[in-house]
Amino acid sequence: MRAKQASRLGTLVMVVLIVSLLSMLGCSSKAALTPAASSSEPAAAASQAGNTSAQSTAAQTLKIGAVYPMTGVESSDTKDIIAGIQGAADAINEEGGISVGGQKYQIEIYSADDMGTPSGGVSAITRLVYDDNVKFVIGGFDPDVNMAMGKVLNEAKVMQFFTGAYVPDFVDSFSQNTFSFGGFFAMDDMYDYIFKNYPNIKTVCTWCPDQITARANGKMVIQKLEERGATVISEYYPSSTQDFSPIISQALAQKPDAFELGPGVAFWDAGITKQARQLGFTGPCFTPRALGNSQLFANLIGKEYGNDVYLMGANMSGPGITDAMQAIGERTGKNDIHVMGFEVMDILQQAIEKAQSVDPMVVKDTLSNMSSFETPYGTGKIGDTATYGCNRVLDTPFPFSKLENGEIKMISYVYPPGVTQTNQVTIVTPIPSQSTAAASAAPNTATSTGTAAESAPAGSPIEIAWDKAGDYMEKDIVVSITAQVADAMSFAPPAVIVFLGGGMGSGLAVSVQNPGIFTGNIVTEWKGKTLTVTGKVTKDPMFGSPTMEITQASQVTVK
Amino acid sequence: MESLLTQGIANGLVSAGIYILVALGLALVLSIMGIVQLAHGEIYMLGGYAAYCLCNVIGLNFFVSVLLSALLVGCLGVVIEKIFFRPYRGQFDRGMIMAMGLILLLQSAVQIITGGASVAFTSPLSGVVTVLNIKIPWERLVCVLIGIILVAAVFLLIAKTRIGQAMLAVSQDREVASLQGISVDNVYSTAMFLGCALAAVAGALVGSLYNLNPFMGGSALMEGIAIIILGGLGSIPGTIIGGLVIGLLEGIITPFASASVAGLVVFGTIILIMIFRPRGISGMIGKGSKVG
Repeated sequence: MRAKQASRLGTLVMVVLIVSLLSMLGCSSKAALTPAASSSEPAAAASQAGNTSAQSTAAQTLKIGAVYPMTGVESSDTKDIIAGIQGAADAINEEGGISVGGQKYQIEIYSADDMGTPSGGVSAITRLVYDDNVKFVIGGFDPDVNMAMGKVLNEAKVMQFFTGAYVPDFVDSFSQNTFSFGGFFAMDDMYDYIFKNYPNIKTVCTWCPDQITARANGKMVIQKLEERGATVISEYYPSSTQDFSPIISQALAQKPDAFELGPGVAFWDAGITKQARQLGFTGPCFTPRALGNSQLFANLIGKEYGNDVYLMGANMSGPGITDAMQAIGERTGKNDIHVMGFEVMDILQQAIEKAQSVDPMVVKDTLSNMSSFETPYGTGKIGDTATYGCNRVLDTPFPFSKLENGEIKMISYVYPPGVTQTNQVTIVTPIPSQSTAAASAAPNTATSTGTAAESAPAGSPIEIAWDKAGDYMEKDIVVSITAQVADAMSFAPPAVIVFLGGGMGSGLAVSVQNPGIFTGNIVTEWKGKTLTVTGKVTKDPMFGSPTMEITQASQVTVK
Repeated sequence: MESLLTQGIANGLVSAGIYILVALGLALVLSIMGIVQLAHGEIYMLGGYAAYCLCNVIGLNFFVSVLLSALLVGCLGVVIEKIFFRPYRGQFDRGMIMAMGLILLLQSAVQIITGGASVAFTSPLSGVVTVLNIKIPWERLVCVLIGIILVAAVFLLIAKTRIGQAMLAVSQDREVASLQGISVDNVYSTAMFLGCALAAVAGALVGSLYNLNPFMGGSALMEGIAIIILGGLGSIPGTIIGGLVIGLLEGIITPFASASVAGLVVFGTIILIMIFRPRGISGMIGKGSKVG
């Protein structure tokens, strides 16, 4: 009897499991795992659209597809990108929607699972395009999958933003309506920085998953490193690798000075870094492509091994983030991969509003010809056709950071070449009385302003503010004061305070070169976007950042 | 060249230790219960997450967390055996479908609970042991040592205890063992407990080396199945030798060629052994499909 009951129970469980399995497969090209929307039920956006429709007869709906792998290892990243896309759509809808010719368009996000395979990609994109009738698609994570989706996108004349890395030689294999993200300039900036700060680098080991498109990217990496005089050794690994130690042993036998980590996937890059450190490698490790989930990367490496590691990513809880990033963090979560979703939606909204059309081909042409656009990280532009071979590659700014004891510390933002930076450097507080200050803008720098000021108590700190926080480069910024004390010590040589921008918020490296005059009590503190210090700020012209001098600041009495 | 070889052998032995730990539970369940527990990888994943919760969320000591996770997941294994596998005892195909269902069930459950993101689970051990210019991280060395201890414990359990002897009897002939008064149900529960507990220890230790994600069980299962096929289905000595062969081949070949070539050689070797010695390594050394 009991055996029969157990058998029935087992059969029941089996039926439930099979039904679950079938239902999961059935909805694989819908948004089963997304927080807000699915093909059949674009929940949040739809309800907002409905509310707005009730208030205004002009409200219309713009359907946007989001296609990503939602199962497998990659889903830990893609779920957050989709959350970012949905968050951005919600934010746009709350503002009334996208404006086109006096009409307001509310956004509905339809997401689909490409399962990380070409066949899954074709299935997902077919459903989005022909069942859900989307005209714009965001996503595609894997270039190989994206190539398979190209035919459907071309035929249906759907505009796509591919959020994986631009792959040289493969851009024509994507749809002709696809924009991808470039970032060659960011690689150049990071490599320049690494070679400048680690001048003894002679041999670099590059890491690359053993995939056709990744190998194509790897060729470009090798070329750029060789241009900088490095001897390059290349390691390829199967994408299922967890234990990198045998490959690392092979690499270490060739005595590399640095590791170029490759594709910008936290799971792989962190695994290589951590295991290389465990096997005794102490050189710099760097990954010049947007990591997306930077905090995960830092966590996976850990505190012990998290030094001399460089990445394109931001600490969303730390200093240096822009106002837009702050707002995204508060809205969606403290994970910089969310910003990626907002970034794409921001660009799409700007392109549609500039085009004043929701026809994807018109929007595509408009975006291709836009001189610049805004992103949460700053101003971006369409990549140079000579560099990328087409005018459908987006060059957007990146936050450039390093790990210090496992913590992400922002170094700088890097901007596409030709983008005019809008950084303003301002002296916020008055210079103490009887002092004079002169601010000068060096060539290639943003405007600086400074005044010999109204009265302020002696010893008051002078605040210097950037309108884009975090825009400084370690070891390239020197904040110094040249000052003379007005009274008996007026004959004394100028005191110089040197600030090496070793980290915002804490750990500022300040040395007083003339401690006989300036000792102690020197305030160098970041509050939000304001550094409180007096002095001279210069920065490596490579990054075209502000330079400001404050001279003859007498009566800066510090006791 | 010489140092590369010795480092490769050391890496290979460490990998082998981890592989054996993963495959041991799978072999135990297969040899006694006669089912290929395809959800073994998910049990391994659960072990990792359980240890992570105990250690990082509750704040217990790392090793205590690993031990408790083994107990918890072992108990879960007993429940799984009773609900999912016992009704289909002797029905290979249904057991297989159940195991496949369990994969989806456990994976999805963990994905929903954790949000699906990878989790960094860091071992408290750090530093590197350097012997004769061979570098082995402490955390890996400890994994191997724990693996050796567990393998020895399993052998002792089987050879020296009543339940071990009962497991041996059931693995040889279930009906005859039953006629001798051995409770097959108890033996199955014990086998499932042990298999799942071993998988949990492996998941916790390997998770602390790399990281945790809801899909980490897939590659572990592949490795485990390759090892038990090579070793001879269900043979524990064969599993150990199979793990050593695969670990060493990977460790030695990779530094001199590449990981892809190593994979080619490993699976080429398995195919050759299957063609010429279908019973695997245990068939070569005269050990049939037995637990001990």
